Parts: sequence; C-alpha cells; structure tokens
Amino acid sequence: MKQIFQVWINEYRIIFSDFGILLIFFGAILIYPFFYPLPYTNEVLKDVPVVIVDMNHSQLSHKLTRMIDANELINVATKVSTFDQAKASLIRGDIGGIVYISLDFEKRVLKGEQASISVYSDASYFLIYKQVLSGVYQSAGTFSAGIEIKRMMARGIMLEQAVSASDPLPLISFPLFNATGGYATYVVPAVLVLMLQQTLLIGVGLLSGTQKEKGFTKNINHRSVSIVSIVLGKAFCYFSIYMVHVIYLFGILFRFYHFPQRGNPVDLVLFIIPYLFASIFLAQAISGFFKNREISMIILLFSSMPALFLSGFSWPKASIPDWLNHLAMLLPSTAAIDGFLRINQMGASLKDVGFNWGVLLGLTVVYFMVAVFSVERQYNTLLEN
Amino acid sequence: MTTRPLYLLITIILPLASFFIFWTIFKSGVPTDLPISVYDGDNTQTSRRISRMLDSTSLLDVVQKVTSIDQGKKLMLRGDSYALVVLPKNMEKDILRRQSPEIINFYNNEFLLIGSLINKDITTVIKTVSKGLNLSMRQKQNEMTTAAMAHIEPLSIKKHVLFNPYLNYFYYLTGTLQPTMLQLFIIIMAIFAFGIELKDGTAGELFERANGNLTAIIVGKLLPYSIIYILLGLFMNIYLFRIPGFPFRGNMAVLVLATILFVFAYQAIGVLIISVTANLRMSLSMAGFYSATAFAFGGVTFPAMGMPLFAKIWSSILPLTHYIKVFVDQSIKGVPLSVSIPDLCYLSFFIIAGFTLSCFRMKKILIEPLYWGRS
Repeated sequence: MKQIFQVWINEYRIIFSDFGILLIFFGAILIYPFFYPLPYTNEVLKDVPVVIVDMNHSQLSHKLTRMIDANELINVATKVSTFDQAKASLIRGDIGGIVYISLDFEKRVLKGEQASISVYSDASYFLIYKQVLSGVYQSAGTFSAGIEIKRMMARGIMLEQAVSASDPLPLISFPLFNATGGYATYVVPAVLVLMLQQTLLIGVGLLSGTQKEKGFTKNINHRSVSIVSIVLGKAFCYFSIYMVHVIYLFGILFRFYHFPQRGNPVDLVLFIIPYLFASIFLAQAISGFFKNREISMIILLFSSMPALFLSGFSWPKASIPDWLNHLAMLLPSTAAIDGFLRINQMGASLKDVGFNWGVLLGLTVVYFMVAVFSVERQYNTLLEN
Repeated sequence: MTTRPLYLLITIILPLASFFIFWTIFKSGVPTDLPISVYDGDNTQTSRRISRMLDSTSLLDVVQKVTSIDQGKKLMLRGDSYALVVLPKNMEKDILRRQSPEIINFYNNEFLLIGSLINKDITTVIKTVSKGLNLSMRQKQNEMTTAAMAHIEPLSIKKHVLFNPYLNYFYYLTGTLQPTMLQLFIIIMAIFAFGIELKDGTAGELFERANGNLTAIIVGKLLPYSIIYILLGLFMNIYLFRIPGFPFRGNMAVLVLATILFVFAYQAIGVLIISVTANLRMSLSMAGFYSATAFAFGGVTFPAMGMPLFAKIWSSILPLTHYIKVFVDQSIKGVPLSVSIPDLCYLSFFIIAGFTLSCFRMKKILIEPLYWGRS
C-alpha cells in the first residue's frame, strides 16, 4: 500500500516536470474541446442556396418562390431563366439544388389539375442534399395544402373538415434527445469521450518510452517495489488527473455548450470509472510492448477515426460485420461512447447500459493483467542494463 | 527504412489496414434492418397492415410490438430500438369517421444520421397510407382517379437526385476517409525522416554527405516516401472504382495529378513543422493536432458553407479539404477540369510555400549541434 502511494506521488513529479507530457495531459484537454467543435458551431445547416428556374412567371410561381425562400433550411440565391445556367452553378458547387417551375404551372393549378415542380439536388454532399429536399418538400407541402383547403372551403366545406380530409391519417414526428438535430450536439460528446482514451494512450506511452530511453528516476528504489504496485500506483495517478478532466468536460464544458445532460451524475461517474481504468491499463499494456516511444503517437493517430466510426453512434452497428463489432469491443471507447451517450444525452440509467458497463469492467480486469505482464517484461530488461 | 519496423508500419501496414477497416465498416453502403418498435393501440386490420408495411421496408425492422409506451421508451434507452411508432386506439374507426387520428413517431435523433433515415422512411410509409385512404374515400364519392390525385396532391414534386443517385455512403465515406488516413501517415513520415536525424544527432553527417546541398537532402530524404504514398494514393482510388465499382464520371488524369500534389503538399508541411521546431516529439504533437482534426474541417459530413468564418479559413489551409473536393468533383460529380483548377492551385501552393519556408531554417538546424538530440 505504501509502495503504491510512493509510486503514485512520484508519477506526479515525473508528469509535472515533462513539458511534452503536460502538453498532452493538460494542453490537449484544454484546447481540443474548443477547437474541434468549431466547424459545427452553427449546429444546423441552414440557408443552403438554391436556384429557381421559373418558366412560368406567374403570381402563383412567385408565391411558391417566396415560400421556398422563407423556409429556414434553404435560401433562393437567384432566379434564372434557363436550366443550363442553373446546372452550371450546381456543377461549380455554388448552390445545393435547383427548383424547376414549368410553363403551365399556374394554369394547371387554377384548372384544378395536378401541377408539378422538379427538384434537382446535389447528392454528392449528403447534408446539403437532405436540407434542399426537406426545405422544398416543406414549402411545397404548405403551398399544396393551402390550395386544396381553399378549394374545399370554396365548395362550402368547413375549414376543420377540409384540413382533416386533406390528410386522413396524419403523422406527428417527435425527434427525441437531440430535438433540433444539432450537429455539434451529435458529434462533439462522442469525440470528447474518445479523446480521454486517446490522450491516455499517447501520454502513458510517452511516459513509459521516456523511462526506457532515459532510465529510472532516482526517487524510487525499483528493485524493492513490486510490479503490481508500480502498475496500480501509476494508474491511480493518471486516474486522479483524468477525474478532474471528467468534471471539467462533462460538468462544466457541456453546460457552456448547452449539450443535453439528462443522466444521473452518479450513474455517469460510475460508468466512466471503469472506462478510465480500462484505458489506462490498456495504455500501460501497449507501452510495455514497444521499444520506441513515438509509436504510441502513431497508434493514437491511426486508431482515432476507426474507433469513432466503430462506436456505432454515426454508422449503425447493424450495418457493420459482426466480427468487426466484436473486435472493436477490445477498444474501451466502443462500449464507453455508446453507454455515455445513452446515459448523458438520453437519460438512461446504469442498468440500461449494463452490457456496456460489464464490458468495461471486464476490459479493466483483462488489461490490468496484461499491463502487469507487459510492465514486468519491460522492467526486467531495464534492470538488466 | 527496412531496418526500422516503425517505418514499415507507417508507410505500408497501417495505411493498408486503415483502408481495409473503412472498407469493411461501410461496404454495405446503405443501412438496412434498423430495429424499431410499434405500439399498436388499435389492433385492427389497418393497424396491422401499417406495422407490416413498416417492417417490409429495407431500412426498418419492426423487432417488437410493445404493450405500453413506457416499454417502447425503455427499448430505446437500452439501444434495442431506434424509434417507437404509436398507432392510437380506435384508429380504424376514426379514419372511417373522418376524424384524422394521429400517428406518433418518437425517433432517436441523438444518432442523427440513423434518426433522419428512420424518420424519412416512417414518414414515407404513413404518407403513402394516408394518400391511399384519401384516394379511396374520394373514389367512393365517385371522383375520377386523376381528378382525385389533383386534389390529394395539388402540387407533386419530381425528385431528381444528382450525382450520387443511390445515396450510397460507402462511396462517399470510404472515398473521403482513406485520404484522411493517408495524410496522417504522409506528414508523420516526413517529420520522422528529418526528426530522427536530429534526435540521433546524425544531421551534421547528413549535411556533409550531401555537400551542403539542401535540395539534394530534402529530395533524397523524402522521395522514397513520396513514391510509396503516391502509389498508395493511386491504389486507394483505383481499387474503389474497380472492385466495388464506384462510379467515376470525371477525368482520371486530374485525380492522379491531385493525388501526387496531395502527397507532396503534406510532405512539405511536415518538413516545415520539423524545421521550425527542430524537435521530433513536438513536431509529432503539432502534426497530430493539424491532421487528426482535418476530417471535421474537410467539409465532408458538415459542409463548409455552414461553418463560421474561422472554421472556413482553417478548412482552406488543409490540403485534405482541396483534395476531397477534387475527389468528389471528379469521381461523383464529373465536373469539367476548370472547376478543379483552383483546388489544384491550392495544393501546389502548399508545396511551394512549405518547401521554400523550410529551406530558410533547415540548414541552420542541420549544421548546429545545438538543435540535435532535443526531444
């Protein structure tokens, strides 16, 4: 116990005297959460420019144009008179879509026939495509319903009945947990959870590499300290630092960003503890195996993007082959991101994410054993020299 | 290179492994069988038909009919279902009585991509049912079908999906994530090539051997890696167009040129970083920050047009942004050369600026032992 404490305190000394480590353990945690969300600060993509090709030039086509312009997702950039002009700007990427209003538009509406408009949307960028279509469908739907209800009222049908007859089975959709569909709210929490693991991997890797290249610190008689004490002592040191980060990120920063916080804080902390320990032991296990300390940096960079996409928050796990999903469970971030989002963003209880929690506890135990084995090997080589 | 296993990892093994991982994750292209649940408070022929219709779409899979709304919400929290569709009590009766009963769709929008796909398909199914009901009611009142359609939908929308008609995520995400991974390795390798000489204190020898010719040093140190990464870059694109048959509509020569410039651009930036810091570890940290955040700023998932000014500027100083634009423009959109020229110029600018600026400092850090062995 005393040994553990000795290693623990000594590790603070090492960390706080190494600028490179401070940069990762503190600098990255401070800067990254402000830098990474920058592209998404507007949360929702609005006012995507579209071009109207109005062949009709009637009162009704102008009305439709105004309604499209008024929709918050899209914005009428210009009106042009030929389709080719519009298509050229779409190819250049200046606009996200084209709405084509045909010559007989008003005539058909007034005669009570079905009129049509054409939407051309650039699907090479998915979000642009989605906003253009939703925007046009919403405004055309309103326009359409307006016409039909007016017609029925002209035939003496009451407004309420008219509304009801135009849609006999209405659907009301409630987006839960991220009601406005904000992009930062969607991406940033997952990325910050991943960041904890990745900075631990790289920081612990660098610390262990430095030790290998520069030898032991003089403060501890390494021959008399057991390997388990070394692994645990260091782990408690990193854990204490990262618990401060957890409070900073999820307690303070999330409020600053107005991210949802629906979970029970106690459940959240209980869930995060095995995540941190699993990541720390994994980092210690990996670092023992490599001679070169830069390698932890490479592994970090290599694994970040795959780890994010394997956590299932953007691309559904049901669409990823099972063997890869199972393999991904070896990364603490996979279970952690999924469970964290459920607790914090959706308000699930620890019991609801029991599977993920179990996985993290299991990884903690397994990686602890691997870490002891790996650090022992590393110390034996160091003591021989 | 062959003597250090680390180099083998950065140049060949990890890039290929990352291509393989993204290929495996996204190869299905379009999500299918996403679990949802239905609360059927009506339990009539109509309500069962709606359930079956939801289940029969390729995207949705009605895994459970729940007996209470709470149970449906629980399934969502536990991750067993992405949405809960509530079919109200007396729905069938209310339809016949023209009361317009409301169907409610609670969907999980925390997972934005999945949520919007699911909402779109549920909406399509219910709208189709509603239109069908509207049509049959009108037909009962002896309205002609064409006239009835004009009433049900006075304005129909003809949808034309340009450039990626299958709305396939595989093309899109694999095609853009592969260069995202490649840039990491290119910049790291460029930094290593010089950083190791500084760290080991062999920079002086290197300078002597090249007779102080900086161009020879830079070209000699980087060219082997340039060749490897250009080959990888060509491979990652060509196999996508060959094996899964990713459509290619544009000019292959433009994409090849962009790939070559892309590799040199990141090498130039890597060399610039190491000559400024003269410190391997510091350079790796900086390059890590610069390249690991690039995907978010690259405009793939959230387009540049929606970003605030600073993010737009940062996005434009990443070669990746311009490379992805050429890739999407040439492969998916098939634009004429003139549209890609500004991006090719940007990529060339990084090369010229990066190498020119590094030359000013490179000599100093190579010959002065003061800069060696720092890390």
